[in-house]
Amino acid sequence: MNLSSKEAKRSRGQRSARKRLLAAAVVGAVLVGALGVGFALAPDSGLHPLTADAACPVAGCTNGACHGYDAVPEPDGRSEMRCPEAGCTSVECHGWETLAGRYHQASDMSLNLWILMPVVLVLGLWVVSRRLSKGERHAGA
Amino acid sequence: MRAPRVIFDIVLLALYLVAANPALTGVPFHEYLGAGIFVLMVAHAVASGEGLGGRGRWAQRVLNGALLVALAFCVVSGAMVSGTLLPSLGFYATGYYFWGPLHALSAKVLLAALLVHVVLRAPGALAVFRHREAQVEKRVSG
Repeated sequence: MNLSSKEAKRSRGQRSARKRLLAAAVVGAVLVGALGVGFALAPDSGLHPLTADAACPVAGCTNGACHGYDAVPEPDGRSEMRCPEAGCTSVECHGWETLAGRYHQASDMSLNLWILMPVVLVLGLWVVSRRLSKGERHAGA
Repeated sequence: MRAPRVIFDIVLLALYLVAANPALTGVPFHEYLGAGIFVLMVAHAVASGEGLGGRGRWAQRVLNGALLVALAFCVVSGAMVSGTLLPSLGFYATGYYFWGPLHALSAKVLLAALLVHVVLRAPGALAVFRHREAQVEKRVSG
């Protein structure tokens, strides 16, 4: 390998490293941007330290016995829930339903399947038709 | 593109498809897997950084931009509605009624853009495997 080709290779490597660095910077900037836009649109939201007396972020309950999605409590007539729409608190609020039926529940399975299933179907049909036409070509030859 | 990178991308896609169906895996696993996939996707984007330049690729760059923005919103909103990963770090987040729908929306946009990305990149990946196969055949026959 002569000197000029070595230099060209080194220069290509430097260009490549610069572009990767730029890509990393772009990814970081977009992430920070998403965070900034999110907090600008929902200024009340934020990160808080999780303590025993912290209110449930979805229903405002301060029962203290919950704090785990596997152990969502039943309506007990004591614990007050905060309405997500009106903001009032009551022991019979529909916050209970939200807590038991929506919070931390995967709700988008059907929609994902609606996107993924047709894609799998189309790809499957494409592969089958390709195989069949290949087989016919071989048989004809 | 080299074969190891294509294999890495295929594994990443398979992991993503698992993470994209939290109803099948359970939400706690979805959260940990999602965080891991985000790191791998950043590695994929940085490794593909070489492809940022070039002429006549504006449509691809727009798609990559949409993918990146959707991924960023999906990860940020996912962290803000996290019920396992965030509490395991000793935090909880408020604003569930904003971040929850944002997570669902950005996840749908990410899935749709990713499918287009895969369709566009698949011929290149297939060409890598065909080239490798031809090389192996040549070596065997030669």
